[in-house]
Amino acid sequence: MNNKTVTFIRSTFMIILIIMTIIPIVWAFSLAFRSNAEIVSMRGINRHTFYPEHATLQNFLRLFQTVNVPRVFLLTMFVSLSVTALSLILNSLAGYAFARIPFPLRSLLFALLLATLAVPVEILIIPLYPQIHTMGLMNTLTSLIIPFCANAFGIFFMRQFFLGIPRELEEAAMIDGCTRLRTFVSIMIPLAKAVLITLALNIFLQQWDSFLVPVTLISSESKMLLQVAINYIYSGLYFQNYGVLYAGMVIATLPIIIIFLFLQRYYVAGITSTGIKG
Amino acid sequence: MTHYKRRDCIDGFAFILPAFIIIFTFVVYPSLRLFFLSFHDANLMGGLKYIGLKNYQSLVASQDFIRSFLVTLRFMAMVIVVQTLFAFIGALIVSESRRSASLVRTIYFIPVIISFVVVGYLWQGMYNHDYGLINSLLSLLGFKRIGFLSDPAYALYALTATCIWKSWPYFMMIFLAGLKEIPGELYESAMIDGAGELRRLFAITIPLLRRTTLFILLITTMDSVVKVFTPVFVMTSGGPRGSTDLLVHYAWRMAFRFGEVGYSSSIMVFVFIFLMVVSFIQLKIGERNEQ
Repeated sequence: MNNKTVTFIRSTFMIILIIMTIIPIVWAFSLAFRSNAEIVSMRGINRHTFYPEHATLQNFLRLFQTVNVPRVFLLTMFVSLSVTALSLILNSLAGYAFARIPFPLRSLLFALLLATLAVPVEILIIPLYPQIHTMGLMNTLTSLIIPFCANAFGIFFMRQFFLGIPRELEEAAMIDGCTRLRTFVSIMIPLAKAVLITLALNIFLQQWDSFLVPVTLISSESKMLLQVAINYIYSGLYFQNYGVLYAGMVIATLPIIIIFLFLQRYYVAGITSTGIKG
Repeated sequence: MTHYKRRDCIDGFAFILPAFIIIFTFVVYPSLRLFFLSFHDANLMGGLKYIGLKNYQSLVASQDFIRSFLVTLRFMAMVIVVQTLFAFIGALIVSESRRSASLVRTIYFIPVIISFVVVGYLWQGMYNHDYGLINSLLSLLGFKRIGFLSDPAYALYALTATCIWKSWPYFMMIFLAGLKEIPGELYESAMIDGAGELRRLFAITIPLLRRTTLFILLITTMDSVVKVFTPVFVMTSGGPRGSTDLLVHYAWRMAFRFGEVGYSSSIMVFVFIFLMVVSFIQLKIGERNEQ
């Protein structure tokens, strides 16, 4: 095979993968701007396959009548930001201790921590439900925040970062009489800005997309989070109004795509750094 | 014996304490509890009765469980092979440091950040028997329309395709990071020796990506068994006729639709042990290849 053939094969695959990725998204996006009558009458492929015949915003109006969109957004924002903020604090504190402070049982506790990676929330949800019930947290936003504000991945991630920082920096501060906490806050945290953004972005998006936990633990419609609300629109489709569903999907997805486009460098850094060292 | 400074001991425990309280209460304790519940007849409100191994006996005897396990195995096998292949090919395509490559990378990555709920409904639309894009295309080409999500012969494949569509670019990024670690001189000297593109791929790239590949396989195995509740729930609810009822969805259904907490705990214990065994085998094989 000469180089030309290789380049040709490469470009062909590249274009096929782009089409596979983009087409479903563009097509679904267009459904949000079509009347239900238009959607259900779509059959073949024609010039209106990707662009509505009669573009309309009625789906978005209907969406706002079906679901309290501002409240769903505020609640989702509140839960996601709370989990993110608390996680950053708890995970970086613990990550720093595991990287830098020599204390008894450190490696044992760290091994135990890593072992918890083997039990994801999909498995834990079964015992969590009765536990949350016993704790009196059923159907509260607290049950969506507190259990998720520290995790092994975040601690491991922060530890890896702190391990790479030269000791001299903090030793100088400690000799000057700073406490550990003071050193941590005024020296380590400023150095960790980029990794903290990476971790924050990962946790925030994970919370924004979270479905299993809120759909299991929250029963009242007034505390519905975003992803559950989309499912709610779908299950409430007694007259099969697909347009409203797609409008909801567009509204739920646009903000995170915009966040991603601006901060993708940080987000991707999270995947690649753990992948190699892991 | 290592001697610890008093201040370090206090600081160390104080720093990890908040995180460990959370992790003990909401991960370690429920993990032990899961094991405990699997030996009980339990309901969602906390009611308990010890029944020994009965849950496990009904598990082995249950047609639904066996089917669900087989569906999980098929799903897992398809995802591991196809998704990893896509991720690898994708990484090779965008690994060139041209400007366009970074744009292509961004485009590929979009499905990863879209939530699984949205992806699920998006593909439910794509698969729709009447207005769905895929059936429109099929009928244009003169084929019969297919009920992708309503026909037991197709539903699992349709679900698998959706999950791969969403996740492959994530693993592409990991392969990409692995590719960057390979020293460029290796390729240069291979080119001087007259090795063609294919030969370089098999003699340098693939062998040197062994560790990355092992890591990807471990994560993919875990994800394909566990991170599948949402797409199943959204797209098929396990149907038609149980053809997409993956284990985590089956267990969730038993617990939260039928209140069989003890029984579904035993399913999850099984899932956990199964994952441990598969990961262990993968690690062993990976280690042997290393030598």
